[in-house]
Amino acid sequence: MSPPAADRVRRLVESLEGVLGKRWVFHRDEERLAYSYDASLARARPDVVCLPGSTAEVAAAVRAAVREGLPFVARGAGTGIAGGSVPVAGGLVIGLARLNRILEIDLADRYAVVEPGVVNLTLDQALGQQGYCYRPDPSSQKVCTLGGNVANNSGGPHCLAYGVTANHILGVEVVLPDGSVTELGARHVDPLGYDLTGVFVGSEGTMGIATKVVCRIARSAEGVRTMLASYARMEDAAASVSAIIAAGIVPAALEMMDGPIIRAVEEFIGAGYPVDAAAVLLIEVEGLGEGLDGAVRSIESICKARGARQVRVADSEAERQRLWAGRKGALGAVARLKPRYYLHDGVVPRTRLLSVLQAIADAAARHRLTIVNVFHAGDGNLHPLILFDPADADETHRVHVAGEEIMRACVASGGTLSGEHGIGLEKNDMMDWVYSPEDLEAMQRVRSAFDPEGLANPQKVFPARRGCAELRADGHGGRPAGEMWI
Amino acid sequence: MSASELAPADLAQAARMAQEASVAGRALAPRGGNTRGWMGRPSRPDAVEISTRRLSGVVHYEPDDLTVTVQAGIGFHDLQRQLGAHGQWLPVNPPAAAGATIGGLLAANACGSLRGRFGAWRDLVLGMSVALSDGQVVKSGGRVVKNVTGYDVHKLHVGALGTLGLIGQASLKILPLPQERRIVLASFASTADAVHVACDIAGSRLEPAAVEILRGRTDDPFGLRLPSMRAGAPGEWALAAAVEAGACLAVRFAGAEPCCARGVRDVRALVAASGGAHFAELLAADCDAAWAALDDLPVGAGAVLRIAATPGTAARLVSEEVAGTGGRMVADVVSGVVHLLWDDAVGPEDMAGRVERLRSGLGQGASCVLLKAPPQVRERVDVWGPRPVSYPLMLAVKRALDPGNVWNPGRFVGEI
Repeated sequence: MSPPAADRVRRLVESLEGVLGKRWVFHRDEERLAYSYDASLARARPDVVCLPGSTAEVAAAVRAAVREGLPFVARGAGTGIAGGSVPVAGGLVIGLARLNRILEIDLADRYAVVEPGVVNLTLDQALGQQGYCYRPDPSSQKVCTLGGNVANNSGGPHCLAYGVTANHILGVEVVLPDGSVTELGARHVDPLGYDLTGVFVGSEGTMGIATKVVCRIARSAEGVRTMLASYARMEDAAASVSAIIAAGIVPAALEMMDGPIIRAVEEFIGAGYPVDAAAVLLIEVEGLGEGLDGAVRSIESICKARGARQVRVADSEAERQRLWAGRKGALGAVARLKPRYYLHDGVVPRTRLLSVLQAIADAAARHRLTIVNVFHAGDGNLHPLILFDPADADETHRVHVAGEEIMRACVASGGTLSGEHGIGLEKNDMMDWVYSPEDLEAMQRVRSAFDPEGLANPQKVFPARRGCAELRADGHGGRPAGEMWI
Repeated sequence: MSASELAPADLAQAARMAQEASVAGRALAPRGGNTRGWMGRPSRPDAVEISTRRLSGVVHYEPDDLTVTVQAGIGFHDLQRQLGAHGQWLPVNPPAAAGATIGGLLAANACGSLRGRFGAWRDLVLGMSVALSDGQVVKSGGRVVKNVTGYDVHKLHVGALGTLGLIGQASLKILPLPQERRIVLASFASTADAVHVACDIAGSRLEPAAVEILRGRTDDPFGLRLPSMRAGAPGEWALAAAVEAGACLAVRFAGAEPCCARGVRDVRALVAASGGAHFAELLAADCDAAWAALDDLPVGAGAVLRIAATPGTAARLVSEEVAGTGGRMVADVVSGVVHLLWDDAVGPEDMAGRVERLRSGLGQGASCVLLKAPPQVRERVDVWGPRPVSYPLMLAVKRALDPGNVWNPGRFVGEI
């Protein structure tokens, strides 16, 4: 007979304190509250939180939780916007903030080994000093951790040319849900056997906890040019995106922002965007100096042919940084428009951008909502932000309805639910829009090969009955919109 | 076609066939173009081949999406031709691609030296539909270029040699054709010099499409005869001669014309500074022929050992000429993939010994797979090598997806 929950939690606390020391184990109400949310709207308190300082301690923490039959959830910086790190089934949150060392950088072998709590930008800056870089650059890169990037297979503006996180991870050391430690992949390409690294990346913490990550590193490009094309009509901007891709040009990044975003950014950051534009494209090309002028000229003429009012090329590094600061700080700026927003992460085939943007605008009109757009246009990765005031119950309801309609439009166009943020709790009940029960069952079987007991981050990714979930749009302690990134 | 070969008309039928096999305790061996039957451990003698030859169409191709969805049985060259008509390509260059199918190349994880620049199959595959042995057709991923909706189960099938299911359909990332392609060849008296220059280029910002070192000891070791060089090169000039001299460096560029020209210029300067003996730049028609010939080199022998290591380890292996192993060598120093090619003159006992010595020298730092070898060698040495530490998980994945052990039993790593 299973002992009462309180006993199990008490024993978990005792055994964690025995291994990690009291200093790194937390179970008071206010401590649990601090780990009850991420950047999504989901809220749920863990029973216990611990901050291990080594792989062995992570393994011991996992063993302690599963011994009591309690679930465990790994947590990086908590920047996820799909609820992936919210402990919806209670149990233990294992915070990886203390595992924040860059263990190895090997330039000749072009890899770096990091602990999961290393911040994305910290690695990139360490490499940058030596003329190298780590390619994936989520907009939250100043705070998000590489462990979290692995869990979500994170993207970023430059994934257009260089691919997403999965393309840059060679291997991981993993604490499996039985508390054992193993290594997937290697420090080189083509490790022997099944590509377990490939399936682990993006599994949202449901297969175990990465305690070391082997990242592929690259030489940073010789030269870079960044330009801003502004438009009087959003559809001309969207048409330019398609035309650039169709012309055989794959820029390093190709981002779109619509009028309301532009104006919010200008007020907040002053990035130098034209405030009267209906849309801008932020376009970057990288590579050998010899190729940049030609690429810039081609893109400029394509944009102008599609109705761009102006195409401005940044003429200094400072100006370039300013243009990017506007893009990467766009979500912070949106906080000025409404208290909250609901962000979606749909992906569509690039040729469907225009029609899906129209569907988004239609949904906004139909449900009397303000929806603004800032997104990775070159990848077809949309980020419609539905603005609302959580104090207005009717509006909040319409936000959810409109959100669903938008996601349906993405799926109907041949796209999917999430491009880089993950499924987590936000979209797990939409999974059957994309996958058949058999598809999902096959995925569950793979998961069970890693986690037969189902204790690693349960109720995520797959459609689940949300019995004990405590989902609220207005959670106390929730973050203001200004602390989110896309 | 063998009497016992199955050739399903669609993936649902393939899944039903697999389910029947599962119930009857039979084994199925997926078959594409049958260009890589030499890979892996031997098939179970009673395994029935199940061919994708009736699954050979393009399912979805909207050029401006830069993705394509195909049935697994489509020929690699057939697909490239169709993409080429729209100014696009699938940026992989597997060796021995003639007659090979996309499904077969995915299952074999047969990439080429362009992978360092453009990615390997695992980077290019966006989604898949697969027939499982429980009779289900399941998909993962999709046809958009960014997707974190559910697990990337399709990555498990890449390189699994058909041991988890029959790949029936795949969506792939494609690219615009490069404006220009160039190949630079340079020969060096010393392999170490060639490696030095190759590493400089691989670690540079020149963004080469591929950097390879070719080494051989006999006359015309690679059978490449490449006439007509750019003015200034010594008349008729064969790559073979360069290789015979010591080692040959082959650097490929693909992209905008000014970038290719810059690459060639910088490589020339690096070669000159390091005392390279010959330098040649291939143009136009010669370049196309040489490009294809270079692609095929890695498996052009009776026995091939494929070592995947870090780029630094690979470079060291090449520099040291893989002491005592003899044979020819094709090394991709960007990705760290070295192919050792042995001809029939090397006896099975000797060959097995060389493989074991290399493996024990490399330890955990590399994978060392006998890609292709005569049966007498395969009997003496495990073609895959020692099981990786995550082998128990691999076994669990196999049991989860193919509990009846229908798909290609015994051919994969650790007799999976």
